[in-house]
Amino acid sequence: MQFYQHIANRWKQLESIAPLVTFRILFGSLMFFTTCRFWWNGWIERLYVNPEFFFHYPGFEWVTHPGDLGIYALFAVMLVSSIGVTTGAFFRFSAFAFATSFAYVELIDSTHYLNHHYLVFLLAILLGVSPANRWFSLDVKMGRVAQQSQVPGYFRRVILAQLCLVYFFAGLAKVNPDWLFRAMPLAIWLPEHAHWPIVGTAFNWKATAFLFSWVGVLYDLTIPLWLTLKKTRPYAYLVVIVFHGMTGLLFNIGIFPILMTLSTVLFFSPESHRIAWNLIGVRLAKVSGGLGSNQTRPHPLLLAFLVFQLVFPLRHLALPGNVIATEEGYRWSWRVMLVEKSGLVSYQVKTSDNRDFVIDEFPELTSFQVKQMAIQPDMMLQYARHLEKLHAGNQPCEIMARANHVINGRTSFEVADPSMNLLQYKSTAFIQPWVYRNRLW
Amino acid sequence: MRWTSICLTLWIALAVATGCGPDDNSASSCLTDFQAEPILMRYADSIILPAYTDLEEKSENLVLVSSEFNSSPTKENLERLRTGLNQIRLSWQAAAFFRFGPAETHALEEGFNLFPVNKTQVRFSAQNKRYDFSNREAYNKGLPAVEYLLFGLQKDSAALMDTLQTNASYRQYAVEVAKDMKKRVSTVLGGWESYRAEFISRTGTSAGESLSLLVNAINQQVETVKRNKVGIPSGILSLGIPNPMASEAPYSRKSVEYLHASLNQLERVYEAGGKEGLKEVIAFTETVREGKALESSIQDQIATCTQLVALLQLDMVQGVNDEKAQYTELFNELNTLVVYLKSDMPSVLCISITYVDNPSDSD
Repeated sequence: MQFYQHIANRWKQLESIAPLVTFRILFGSLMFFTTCRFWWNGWIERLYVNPEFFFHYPGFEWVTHPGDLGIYALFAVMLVSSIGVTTGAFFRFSAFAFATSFAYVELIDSTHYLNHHYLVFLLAILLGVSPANRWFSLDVKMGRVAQQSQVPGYFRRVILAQLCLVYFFAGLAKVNPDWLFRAMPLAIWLPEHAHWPIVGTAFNWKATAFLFSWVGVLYDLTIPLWLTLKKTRPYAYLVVIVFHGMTGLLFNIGIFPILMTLSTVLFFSPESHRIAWNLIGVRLAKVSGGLGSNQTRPHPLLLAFLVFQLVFPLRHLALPGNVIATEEGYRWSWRVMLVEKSGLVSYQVKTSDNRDFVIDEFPELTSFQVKQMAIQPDMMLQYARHLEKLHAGNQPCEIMARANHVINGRTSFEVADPSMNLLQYKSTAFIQPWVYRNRLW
Repeated sequence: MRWTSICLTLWIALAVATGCGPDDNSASSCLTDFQAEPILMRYADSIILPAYTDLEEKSENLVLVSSEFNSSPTKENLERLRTGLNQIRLSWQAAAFFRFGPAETHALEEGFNLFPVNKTQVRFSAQNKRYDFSNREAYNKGLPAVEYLLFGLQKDSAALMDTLQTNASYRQYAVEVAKDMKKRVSTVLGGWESYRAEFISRTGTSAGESLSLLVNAINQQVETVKRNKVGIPSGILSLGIPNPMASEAPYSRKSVEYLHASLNQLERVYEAGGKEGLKEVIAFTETVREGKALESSIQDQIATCTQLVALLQLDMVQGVNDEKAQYTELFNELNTLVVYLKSDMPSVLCISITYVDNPSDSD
């Protein structure tokens, strides 16, 4: 109880608004950059305009493709709102507009699920509910909000807590026999960089894969601690830069390294942020104020959010089978760069006019969609329903899937009973009842 | 400091608790210390180059016998030409497994064995003396085109002989197609003179390295066997509607024979004469799949498929209607073979086969 009081008091304490402003500008600019990059690379067209078929997330079937113009409109909203976030113009509206349009695009096709995109969404929401526009913003300039130099600490701390959870769960997922004792999947991934000058050969050594595996899991599990402790913080941040820089060079993980490197700046004390702003000539006026006393307590929803984020990534513990094999509880749980997995899938179709045939080519899917479908049971089931529409012609029909997965240099295993009619099953958000409960290790 | 030690202890406890699983040998350890060079050398010198050399010989012969038939269209010369065609088609079954390097650059597969042949286009091109075979995707060339001319122009053999004797353009077309194949295989062999060194030196396991190319190419051919030689003709991959004329050699009724030859060649390629073959490399990983050594599972699966093919009636055109159940069984066994070769083999050898690139980012 005393401990709780202690935490509660610390979370309510007023502190400088400077770190929130720093984060607002860094995050907003990065979102502007990433949206431009996505557009510039032609990915809007490739991922959301060209494909003829989109996979839904279970539970989000209502998110439909808004048409090609609609997609571009959503990205335009992202562009404009990210500017709004950065400059603090119509800040709350901008942040939520960004989060909404970003989430909508993500929800169109589960093929492209990315943990760091989920993180972007969460951070946009957490930033949006904070008063990060109360200083050095267009909203203040326009007189939309009063300038304010101090805010309750929980706005910053809840973002920090979220970042800690990301690291912690990413690390926890790696505490498994393949990662620790077989150096998998790094033993497969690192040799792909053996052509690097000077250090390249080392990527072919088993020892390097082990070193990277153990350093990686140590980093993920403990870096929040080192960033929190004042004494170790500067060194820890140096490690953050090196670690994420390295992973950024080695793997095709887009903005994730930049996102984490910029976000962890929040671990530095509010005072140091204030000093940093002052150093570059933006004087933080000592305006007294703060929110009214009845508002200094964190909104219960904010706490509920944290509890949810603490529990939800652990839902796989309640589901039978290994989450890496079944994929149940895999998403939204910070399993990043965790496994080398591939699959093969084909469907057997039995129609009412006694035809019995196999579909193993999927012309309406992109090759990447096929790859993702082959490793994710919920997508397999969706495609089976699509095949029903194509071939059944309103008559009863049976569709069986023959699917095999390989994980981390292991031999293949069957995903489900290939004689089972998938059409008797409904896709649910949590569990695919037709999938074998493979334990893997 | 107290927090630090608590965290570290907790962490180590977690690691030990989750990590101490039983030893399982369904997983390879991605051996980085095995020597790829002797294996690659073996494949280049004892498997791939001999296959191409044989194919070149057979294509020289095909040019010769087709020219003879062209200048003197007798029954005997037709038989010699047909024999020559059969020989080169058998030879092709070996060469078909290596679609990479020069073979890929010079479209050997497309030049030799795109089927089903486009009859109309062959007749049209022959009559109009168009001998342009540069379009990779045109089904007017290669072995199936020659087969069509020698077996498929007429249903009745007397009528066929008559057509061939009265139409020099068809005979000439066969010569031109044979010359095109000869040119391609010679170019590929020439290309291997310099490519061989590169092939042997790229000993890594990532995508684009030789082992990855080899495994990938073998898989492509096994997929072709499953899909084009069995799946589509039998109707299993074409909505349940048999399509025997889409098989490899429907006019000469030799589709089953060439299918059989393909699987025999696969076994040869897989073993590569013993010590330095893929089979031995897999054995080196000591991987066990469902209680059985993976390298034996693969070999037995190839044998199972071969035996099933041996039981089929020789004429596939008739067979796909009479032996539906047998074709389904064969298809399923081929499917299992594909899983072994395309999933298990690269996985335990830790070979990256980038069939598909992520179009954007991963995490």
